[in-house]
Amino acid sequence: MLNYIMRRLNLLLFTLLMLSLLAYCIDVTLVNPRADGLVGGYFRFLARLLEGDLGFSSSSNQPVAELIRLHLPATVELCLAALLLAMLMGITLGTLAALNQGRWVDRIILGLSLLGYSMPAYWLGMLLIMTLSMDLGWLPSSGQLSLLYEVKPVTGFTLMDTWLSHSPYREAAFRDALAHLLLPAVVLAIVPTTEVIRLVRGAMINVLKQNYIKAAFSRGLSAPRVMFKHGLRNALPPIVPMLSLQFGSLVTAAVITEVVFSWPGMGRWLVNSIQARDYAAIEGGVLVIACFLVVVNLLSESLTTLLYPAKRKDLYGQED
Amino acid sequence: MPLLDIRNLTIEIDTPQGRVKAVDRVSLTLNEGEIRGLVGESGSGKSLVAKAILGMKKDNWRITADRMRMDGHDLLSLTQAQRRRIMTRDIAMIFQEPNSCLDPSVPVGEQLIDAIPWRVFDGKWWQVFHWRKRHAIALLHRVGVKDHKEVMNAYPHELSVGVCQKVMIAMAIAIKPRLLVADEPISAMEATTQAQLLKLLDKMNKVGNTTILLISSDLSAIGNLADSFSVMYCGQMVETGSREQVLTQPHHPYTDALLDAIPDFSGRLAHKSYLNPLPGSIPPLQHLPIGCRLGPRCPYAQKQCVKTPPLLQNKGHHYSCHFPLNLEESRK
Amino acid sequence: MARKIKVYPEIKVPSALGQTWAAYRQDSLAMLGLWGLLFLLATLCFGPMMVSFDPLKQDPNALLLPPSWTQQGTIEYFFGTDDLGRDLLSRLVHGARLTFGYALVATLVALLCGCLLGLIGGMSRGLLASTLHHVLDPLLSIPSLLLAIVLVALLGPGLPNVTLAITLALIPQITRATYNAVRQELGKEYVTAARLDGSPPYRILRWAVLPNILDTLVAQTTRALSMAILDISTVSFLGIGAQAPAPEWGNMLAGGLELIYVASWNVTLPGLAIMLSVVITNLVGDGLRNALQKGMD
Repeated sequence: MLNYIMRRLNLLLFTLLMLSLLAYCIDVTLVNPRADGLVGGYFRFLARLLEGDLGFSSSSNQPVAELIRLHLPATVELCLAALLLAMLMGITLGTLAALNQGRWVDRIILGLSLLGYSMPAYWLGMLLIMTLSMDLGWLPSSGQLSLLYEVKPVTGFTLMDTWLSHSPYREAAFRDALAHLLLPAVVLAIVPTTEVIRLVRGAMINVLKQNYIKAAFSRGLSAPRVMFKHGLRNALPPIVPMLSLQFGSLVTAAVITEVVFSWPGMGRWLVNSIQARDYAAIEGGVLVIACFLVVVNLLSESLTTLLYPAKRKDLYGQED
Repeated sequence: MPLLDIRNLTIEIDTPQGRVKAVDRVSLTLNEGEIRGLVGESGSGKSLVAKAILGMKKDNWRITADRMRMDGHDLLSLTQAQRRRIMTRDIAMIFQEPNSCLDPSVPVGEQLIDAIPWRVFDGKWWQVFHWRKRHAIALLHRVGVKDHKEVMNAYPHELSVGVCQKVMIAMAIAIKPRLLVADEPISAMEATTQAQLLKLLDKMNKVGNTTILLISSDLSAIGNLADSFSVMYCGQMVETGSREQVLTQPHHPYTDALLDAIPDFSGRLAHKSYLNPLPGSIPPLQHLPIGCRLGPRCPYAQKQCVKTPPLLQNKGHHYSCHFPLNLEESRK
Repeated sequence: MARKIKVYPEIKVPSALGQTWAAYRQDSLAMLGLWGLLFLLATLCFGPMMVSFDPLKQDPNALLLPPSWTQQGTIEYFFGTDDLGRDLLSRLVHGARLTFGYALVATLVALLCGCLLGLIGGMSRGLLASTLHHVLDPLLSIPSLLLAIVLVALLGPGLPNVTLAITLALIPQITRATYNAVRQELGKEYVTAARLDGSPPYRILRWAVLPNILDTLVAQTTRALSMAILDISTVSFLGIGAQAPAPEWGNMLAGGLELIYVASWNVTLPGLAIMLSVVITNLVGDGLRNALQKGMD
C-alpha cells in the first residue's frame, strides 16, 4: 500500500511540475517577459507560486489569488450539484437500460443520451431560459440569488450562506438560491449524465453476463435482489475512477453554463479575462482549475483502491 | 411417480443464420434418489437441457415440450414467483468454473450465510442469534472444509477451484434440495479434487436422498458414481440405461465410441498403437445431417440411417439406432 | 424449378470487410447516419454554389423575416433572416464549411498525429514510452475545451487559430487511446506466440495490432469529430473564435442571443444544425464500431 501511495504521489508531483511549466510558458511569453535567464526565472516563478502569489489582474487591478478565492466557490457549488444530479440520473437510467437491453426502454434511454450528448450545452441553456424562465416564468434565469436578499458570504457557497444566515427571510432566501441553482445545474448535468449512463450500462451488461449472476438467479433470488446485492456492487467500483474523469468535462461545461446563466463563477470570470486579454488572470485561473482536477483524480483513484481490495490486487499485478 | 419427468423437450435458438434446433425431442426421467449421468461432447446440448430445467432461458430461445414436470409442477407454465419458489426449495444447481460463480466483491462466508433459508431453522428461539453463521460453519465442515475461519473471510479469488466448488455445494446443501443439477462440476480440476467432490456428491445423495443430474463430458470420470446414464449427441438423446447396461453393453455406436475413446491403461494397449477416436468432428448446428445425426461419422452406418431412428426400448434400456450393437437378435 | 442445390454443407465465410458492411447495413439508424453524413459532406462541397444569397449580403427590406412555414414568412428567404436582413439558409449552408469543415480538418490532423505518436509509444518500450506517458497525463488532466481556450488566448482569436488549438487539444486524447489499445493488444497471448515465432515488430504491428485496434480508432475519430464540432462552435459562441460577420454556427447563436424574444429562429436553427451534425457523426461512429466488432467475430 505504501508503495502504491508513493507512486501516486510521485506522479502527482510530476504532473504538477508539468503544469507549472505550462503556466510558466504563458507567463514568460505574455505576462511579464524576463530578461534574466529562463531557468532562474522559472525557479523564481515557482517560489512565487508556492507563496500563493499569482500576480495582479490587469483589468481589475486586484490580486488574481483573491479574485479566484472569490469566484471558485460558486463554480464548485454548481459542479457538485450537477455531479450529484448526473450520478442519480445516470446510475438509475443506466441500470434500467442494462436490465432491458435491446428493448424499447433501452433504446429510448440510449437515444435520449445521444441527443443530450450532441446538444451544445449553451444552446440547451438558452432554450430552457426561453421556455421555463421567460415564457412560463417558473425559474429564475440568471445569477445566484435574487437581489432582494442580502446574505453575508461566509463560506462562499450560496446555499450554505443562506442557510447559515440569521436574516428573518432565511428559508425564503434558501429556496430562492435553490431555484437559481436548479436550471444551470440541470444544463450542466446533461453531458456527464449521458456519460454515466453509457458507463453504467456497459459495466452492468458486463456484470450481468458473469456466472455469479446466473448462479444467484439459479438460487431463486428475485431480480431486484440480485441487482442490488450482486449487480451494482460489482458494476459501480470500476467506473468510479472514470467518473472522476468526468469532472474535467464538467468543469469545461461549467465555463459555458456560467456564461449563459450569468453565474458568478470561475468560468465567466475566465472568459471575461480572455476577452479583456488579462493574461495573468488566465494563467492563474487555468492553473488553479487544472490543479484542482489533478487532485480530484488522485483522491478518487486512491479512494477506489482503498475501498475495493480486488482492484488493489489488479493494480499491483499491472504495475509490478 | 418420477421426480423429474421430461418428454420430448425441444429447444430452438434464433441465430443470425436462422432458427436452430439445439435440442431435439429429448426425454429424461429421473426417479427420486437417483444419480443420473448426462454425457455428451461439448455442444451436444447437455447444458441447455439443464438450463431449461431451471428456467434460465434467454430471449432468443424457444422451449417446447410435451411434458416437463418436476414433482407434479409443470415447469413450463410456471409464473416467475412460482418458479422462484420451486428453485429456492427443491432445485439447486452447481456450475463449472466455481470461482466465477461466487461474487468477487463479497466475502465467501457472507454469500454462504445469505444462501441459508430461514425455513431450515430447527433450534429453539433463543438459538436464533448467530444461528445462520453457525449453520454456515457447520455446512462448511460438512463439505470437508476444515479451516472455516479463513474460508469464510476470504474473497473468491483467494480460494482454489476445489474449495470454491465445495462452497457452492455447501450452498446447495443449505436449501436441502430434492434435485441437484450439477453442470460439469469437476471439469478442469485436479484428479484428487475431482475425487473429493464426487465423493461429496455421493454423500449428499446417500444422506440427503437428493436426486442428482450430473452433467459431464467425461464418461470415465463419473462412471463409478452415477446409477444410470443418458448419452446425448448433437441435441438428441441417443441412449439411456443403467450403469451396467450402458457401460458394458452399449447399443448405440456413439456410446460405444465414447467408451472406446477412454484409453485402457490395464496393459492391453500395445506400445505406440493408435487410439480409437471417432472420425470427423461434431457438425455445426446450422448443418446437421438428416436422419440419425451420427450418420456421417458412424462406422456402422447404412442406407437406412438417413431416416431418423425411433427411440426403442429393451428392458429399460432406451436407444435410438437402426442397427444397435450388442443385441442377440439384431433387428433388420 | 431450377434451384441451386448445395451438395456439401459448407459455411460460406465472407471477407471481414464484407461482413462489416453487411452488419452495418442491417443497422437502420447507422444507415440513416451515413446518408446524413453524405448529405452534410455534399453541403460542405457544393452547398455554397446552390444557395441564392451571399451569406454576408444585407437586405434592409427583409429584416427579421420569420421562416417560410410561418404566416409572415416568404419562400424567398426559406429559413428567414436575421436582424441585418441576411438570409439564414445561406448562412447555415456556408456555416457548414466553417464549423463542420474546420472540425473535420482538425480531427483528421489530430488523428494522424495522435495515431502516429500512440503507435510509436505503444510499440516502443522504456524511456520513450514512459516519457510519453508522463507528458500526456498532465495534458489530459486539462479538459480539451479549456486547453483550446488557453491556446486561443495565446494565439489570438480567429477560426484558423481555433482549429489549430482544438487540433492540439485533441492529440493527447487520441494518442492516449491508441497507446492503451496497442498496449492491450500486445499483452495478448497470440501476439506473444507471433513474437516467439520470430515476427519482427513491423509484422506484429501490421497483422496483429492494427486490425484489432481499428474499432478503438473509429470510436476515437467520431468522438474527436463531435468534440471538435462542439468546441469550435462553443469557442466562437464565447466570442473568441470566429469573428463577427462569419456565418459560423456558434457565432450565429451568439448573435441570436439578443434576438431570442423577437426572432427565436435565429437561436433554434443554428443550434439544431450543430446538434444534427453531432448526432450524425455519432450514429455513423456507433454503427461502424458495432459493425466492426461483429465483423471480427
